[in-house]
Amino acid sequence: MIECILLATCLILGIFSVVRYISANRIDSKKTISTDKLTDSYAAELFLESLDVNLKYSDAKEKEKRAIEIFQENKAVRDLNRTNIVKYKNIIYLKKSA
Amino acid sequence: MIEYLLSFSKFAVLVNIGALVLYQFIAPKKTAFTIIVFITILLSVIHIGLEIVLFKISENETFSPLVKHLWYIGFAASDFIAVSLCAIKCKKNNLKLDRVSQFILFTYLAFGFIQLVRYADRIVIKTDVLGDVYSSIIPALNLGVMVAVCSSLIITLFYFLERIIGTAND
Repeated sequence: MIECILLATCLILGIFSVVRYISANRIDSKKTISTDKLTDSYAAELFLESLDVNLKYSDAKEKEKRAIEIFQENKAVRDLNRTNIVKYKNIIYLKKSA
Repeated sequence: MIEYLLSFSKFAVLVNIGALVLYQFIAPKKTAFTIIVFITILLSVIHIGLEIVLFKISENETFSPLVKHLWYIGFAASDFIAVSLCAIKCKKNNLKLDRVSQFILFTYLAFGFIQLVRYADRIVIKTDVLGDVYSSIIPALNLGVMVAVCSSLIITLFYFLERIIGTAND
């Protein structure tokens, strides 16, 4: 009897951890993150990711630099951007318009 | 066998600690990978402690049935708690799980469920048919985690060196 209780308890814990694992995998940062919490480097990362630019292992500064370069190289992108080149709304706007 | 398991676990902990320190040096930022490797190290230390304690307890025959329960349930529960902690921490910090992190967490989930299946096999329904599978799959998964951590580190190191060389050329 005690074996079954232990097994069932642990199984529930296992199911809980699977749910948390799936939930962590399904993070849609673009939807959940608030603009206040969004740093330039993270915004740059989201932006580069949206353009499929692979800088996965580069550091934050490099990502920001590359994001700025892409913005500057592309007139359409530049025109969309008024004040801050790597902010959340612009990225989402760009993604939608792409 | 016991010595082998313990020495392998200790070696895996040392490799993970080395990887984490090196990773923090070459890519000093908080990512899902660093959180997961850190929690993996803590989990490995807990597992080593649990192994030592359970082996000590098992020397007393009065407590040997208790050890059977604690062995499987203890390892399974700690694996599940570690995965949940990692997932909650990553979600809270809006950290995206990279493939290596996904693999490590998935492996720990697999560890937990293997322990539970083995517990059911050996203690609950008493068929005891999975002994060989269990004793070979656990070291294989441990090795898999270690290889994943090391390969991720090597890739990061490669990009780090590439950047250093690029900066030096500029």
